[in-house]
Amino acid sequence: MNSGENLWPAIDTNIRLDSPKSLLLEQAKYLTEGTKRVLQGMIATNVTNDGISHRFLIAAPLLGNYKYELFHVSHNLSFYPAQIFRNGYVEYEVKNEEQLKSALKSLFSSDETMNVVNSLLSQSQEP
Amino acid sequence: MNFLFWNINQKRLGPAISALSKAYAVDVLVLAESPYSGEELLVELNLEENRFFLPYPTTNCEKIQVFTSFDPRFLVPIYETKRFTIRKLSLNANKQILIGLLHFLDKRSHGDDSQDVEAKKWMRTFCEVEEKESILDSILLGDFNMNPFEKPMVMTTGFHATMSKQIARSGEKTVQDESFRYFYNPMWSLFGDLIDIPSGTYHYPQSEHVTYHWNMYDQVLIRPTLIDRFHHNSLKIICEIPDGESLLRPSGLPEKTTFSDHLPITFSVDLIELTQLP
Repeated sequence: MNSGENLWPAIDTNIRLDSPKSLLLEQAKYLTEGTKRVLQGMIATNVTNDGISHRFLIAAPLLGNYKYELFHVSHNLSFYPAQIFRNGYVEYEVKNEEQLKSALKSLFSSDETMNVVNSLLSQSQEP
Repeated sequence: MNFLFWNINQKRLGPAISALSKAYAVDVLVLAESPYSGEELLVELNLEENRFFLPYPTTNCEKIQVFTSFDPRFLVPIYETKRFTIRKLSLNANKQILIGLLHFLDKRSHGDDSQDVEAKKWMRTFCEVEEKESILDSILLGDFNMNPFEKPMVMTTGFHATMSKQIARSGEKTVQDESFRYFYNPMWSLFGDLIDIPSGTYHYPQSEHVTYHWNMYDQVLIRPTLIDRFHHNSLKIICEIPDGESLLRPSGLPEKTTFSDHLPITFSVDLIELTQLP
């Protein structure tokens, strides 16, 4: 028998939590802008039974649209904790947005990232 | 087109690689764990004859080195990670194939579950590239750090590689309304010692109750559409340098002091002549 009573609290349908993906998209945009669009930051998202995974890609449109996968961030339906994998290893496990920002900052300034960015920039600008 | 893959275990094996390249008329030479820079090894490879070109400059895959006997612009990297380079081989204006070259995560730092998860991710990426490029003819080659019978090599969401040409030729397997394309894995045919020694490409004895001794970590996988172009008799585990020096000890195990702990593999695929740069 139906009670006719709504047991749900009021749900705000306009709510927008800052997801790891939105932060990654923002950083991808900064890479694109910071390289004068010679390189493009891209996020490729896969949703599987294992969870949600976002790959951070650097694309070089002038080099046949070559793409390099820098790292990926995996999490389940709740955004945190999230794991950051680089080269098959869990490099960071982050519990909130602040920790994710801090990890991304370290990843972006690492030798591996800068080597890839500098190499792709140089080759993209060769005559 | 003749391929040779060798994990050289950080050994400076330039003269041996050069001799093998000449003997097997190698067109695509793929190395894992190379201690050389591209320029450095090219000098050694081309000491007697100018067989190879300088590797394609736009590559950031640190674990794999590729030399070609043709202009490297015919084999261009389009998607890479540190361990996986996916390249587009342009045979002519209308025909392209994808070649994925890889050094998969090893068992010492990645347990079975981790290899399982990673295999799914790598194959998801590879299938995405196949789809985006609209290319169905693909080859995967490298050190998989797994045997052909292990779960990530066989399962639909992993490399999905079958031992049977007949099964592979059926194209795909459907599970729960989702279809998964097959790879054919010819390496199964080289297991054991019925035909010839050695029984695998990598020997790893363990003092455990279960050990395989010989493993087939170095593998080539072929999409069904390329099976008829694959020369089955050309597939070999190489155990001798052409000058007569053996890659095996008298005991039959790899001579890993002088050479590598892995043995090289070679095979040939009938591909149309390279006629025109993309």
